[in-house]
Amino acid sequence: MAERSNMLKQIQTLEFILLDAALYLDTHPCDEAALAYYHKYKEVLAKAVAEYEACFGPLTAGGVMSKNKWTWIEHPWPWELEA
Amino acid sequence: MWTYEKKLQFPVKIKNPNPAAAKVIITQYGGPDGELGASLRYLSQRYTMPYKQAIGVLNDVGTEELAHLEMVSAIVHQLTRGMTMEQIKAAGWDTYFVDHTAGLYPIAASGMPFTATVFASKGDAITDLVEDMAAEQKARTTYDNILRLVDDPDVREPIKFLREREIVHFQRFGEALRVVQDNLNPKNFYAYNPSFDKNGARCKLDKLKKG
Repeated sequence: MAERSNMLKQIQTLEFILLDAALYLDTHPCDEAALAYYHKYKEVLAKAVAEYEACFGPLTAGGVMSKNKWTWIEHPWPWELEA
Repeated sequence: MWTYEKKLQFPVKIKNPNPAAAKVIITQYGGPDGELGASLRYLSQRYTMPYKQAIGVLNDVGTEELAHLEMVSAIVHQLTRGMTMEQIKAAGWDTYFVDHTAGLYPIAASGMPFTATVFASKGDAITDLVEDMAAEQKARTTYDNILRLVDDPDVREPIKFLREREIVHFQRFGEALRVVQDNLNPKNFYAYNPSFDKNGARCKLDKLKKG
């Protein structure tokens, strides 16, 4: 569970980096340094998500890998995760 | 957590402004059986829903309703874009115009602003799912009534799509209710709340009754 929680924390951090950078870019669309920063972390996030989903199941319905079972509905849902 | 996708679920492309149509369609934005109340109903109910199939349906339908909210908003926006003062007055849209101009604001067709009193979140799986099935039928009836009132095919096509989704959601909620009922003790079919009583509260309740 610690491994899951650590990987999830990393994804949450990376997603927050991207979300906050996107918000900045909304009002600074020509800032090339900010854009490079965005692209750099987008790649890191994609790798982290792929790794997490392979171990712990999908983060979005589109992330279901299984061919014989719809794993999207499996517990835990986010509000069920232990502290 | 949500992310935004920069597209509508189904295309909305309306050529002619028509505030009279907007006046009735806006009820599916902020009215008693509208998409805002629908989304909040399902997303609120999912936390105490006891079975994963039903959680999945509430989560995913609640999310889809946000896409429907956006479609209804796009319809109202396009129907009130470029309208003339004469069209506004003739349609009786002046009472909305004076407060909101051509801005989007969630109200019922009656003018009543959106209120959370249009939906329930009871914390009882059967109560909530039966409410959800009724809600989908009420929304389907509203879309039927809109189709009785509006002739423009540009407007009718996305409304027909939204109407069909109500029918599909009703079906899924019916299946979710079946899953919940199949998991209940048949001797206690309606008497207890599977969301609340499963952690031993039921035993305490029985002890209380016995005195």
